Amino acid sequence: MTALKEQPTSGATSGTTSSPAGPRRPRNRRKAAATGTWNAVALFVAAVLGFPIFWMLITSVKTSSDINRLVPLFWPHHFTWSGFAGVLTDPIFRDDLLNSLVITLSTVLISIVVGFFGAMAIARFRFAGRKVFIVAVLIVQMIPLTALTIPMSLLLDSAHLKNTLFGVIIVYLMFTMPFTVWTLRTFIANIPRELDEAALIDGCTRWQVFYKIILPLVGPGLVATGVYGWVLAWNEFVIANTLLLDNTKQTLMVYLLQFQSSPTHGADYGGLMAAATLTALPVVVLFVIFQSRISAGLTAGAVKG
Amino acid sequence: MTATGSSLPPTLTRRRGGSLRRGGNVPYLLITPALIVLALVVVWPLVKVILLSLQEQQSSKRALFSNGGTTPWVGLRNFVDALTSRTFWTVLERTLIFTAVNVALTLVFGIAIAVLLNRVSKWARVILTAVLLFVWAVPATVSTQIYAWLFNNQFGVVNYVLDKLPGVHMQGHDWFADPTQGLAVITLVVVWGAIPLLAISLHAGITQIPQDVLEAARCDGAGAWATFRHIVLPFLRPLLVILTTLSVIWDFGVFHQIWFMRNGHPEPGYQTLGIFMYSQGVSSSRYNTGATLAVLMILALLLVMVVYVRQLFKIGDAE
Repeated sequence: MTALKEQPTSGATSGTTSSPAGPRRPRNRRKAAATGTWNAVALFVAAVLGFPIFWMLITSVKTSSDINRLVPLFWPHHFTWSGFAGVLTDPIFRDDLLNSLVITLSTVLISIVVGFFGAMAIARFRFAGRKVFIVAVLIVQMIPLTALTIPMSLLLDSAHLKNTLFGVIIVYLMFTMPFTVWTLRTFIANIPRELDEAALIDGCTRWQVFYKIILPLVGPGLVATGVYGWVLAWNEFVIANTLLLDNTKQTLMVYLLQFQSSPTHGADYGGLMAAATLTALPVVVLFVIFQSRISAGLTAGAVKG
Repeated sequence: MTATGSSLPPTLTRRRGGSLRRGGNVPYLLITPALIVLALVVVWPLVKVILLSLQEQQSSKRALFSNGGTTPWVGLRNFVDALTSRTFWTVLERTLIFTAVNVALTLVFGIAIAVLLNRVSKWARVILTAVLLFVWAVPATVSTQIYAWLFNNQFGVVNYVLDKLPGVHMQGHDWFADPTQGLAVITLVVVWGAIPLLAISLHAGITQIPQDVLEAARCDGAGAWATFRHIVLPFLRPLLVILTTLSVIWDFGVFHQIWFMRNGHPEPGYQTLGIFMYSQGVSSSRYNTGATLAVLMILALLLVMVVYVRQLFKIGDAE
């Protein structure tokens, strides 16, 4: 019952605390012992869940003789950066990193701008067709992207946008934009409407209400939504793999698959784990920076990486 | 205690601050850009995929040449072909089993860890939450490659550890020779990646349960299991419905984990509906067959989507 101890008990609960102090003590001690056990369980779970990440990091700095051993080394004899150096000096990796950054940033920015207006509409106004719009947004968010790969590819081809970053950015809006509308809606709806009404009465124009009241208050929401959108776009593989055909135009996810299946790198797990680490890094860094906001708003949009 | 929307997690409750305003043309102006994007990247491809599914599948070479263009209309023949092929039903059966197992495991572990987070000291909770966030941040493509390496037949650490157990001989064991074992490893990747979302959001849900309700149950002599079964679970129900439907949709359409685990060439035994559709439609340029499968896939998921949307409306989140 640590949660109970942390929370200041209000006066309303005084009735329950009136139980005699005598029998409470041994129970508390038993509780404390049980908490110790559960803490140990939690640490074990954390270790098991965290082990794959540890193994990726440790493999990426192992020498190949330390990697290819029948008895795995849980701590390497020698550390090496050659895996990272190999990946970072690969010109294709650099191209693909740049492509991933361009695609992800553009997708996030466009969907935040477009999504913000849509979110404002459904969070603040009543209008005919509002419900239809909401349902459409929710349903679109759920359509598996793989199911639309074929028509997207054909349509972009006829628009001469296949094998261009711009084409991929447009397609990515399909899943980032509805999600942005929905998540931002939650954040805007949590700003009391009385605030904008008061501002309107005080003589603010609609536009002033928007950028003087709502925009500053929804700032954290914009950041959280932006990070989610970043994760979605950064991690996408199917569309990138289908639409981007040149080595120099692909994203890091496609690079990762080719790294693994290429004959020169096939057995190079050190290099592969280094590439995997670098691919995951931008997302992890964003998470560490915005950690508190993200875990608080995790349910708002229900995203999976 | 009625487990209705009165005290749901903050993100799921609706701030009641007067009714929505009528804004004349303003709301329509606001949604116009979003509508244009939706029309461009969703409606148009959806129409196109339906049209493709109604057109004749010619030999893949010709389809590639004419870019899947305008082949004669054949009505529902592609659907009849798909639904009468044995491969389709094998793939569908595999997909359904895979989805059921993955969703069930995700839910069980997600709920268990959420309850655990609620039970431990603060420092332990901080450590476990940090690990969960890291796990969540790892892209599915990356995690799949980590697991491929963990389960490597020659130098994989999993075989080494299992081999240490008495009576178990796993040295050199190839997990991917048999698709059932391979899909079990892939299940591990999927569940591992899905646990954080469930554990963290369900934990947030549990902390919203009023303490006096739990206290009352304890005074009435309810044990840990009874409290969980009769108070915690009903309270979490709306959130659980949403998380379950989302998990079903995601696991039904699973792609990255299988595709990467098999180096971009999944063998027939590894094909779930999403993979089958992609390798038919994109890899072999059988656009019309692929489009037919895509339409079937969307139709199958539509039912789950309806449950999801209805639940969101029910708890007032979509009002």
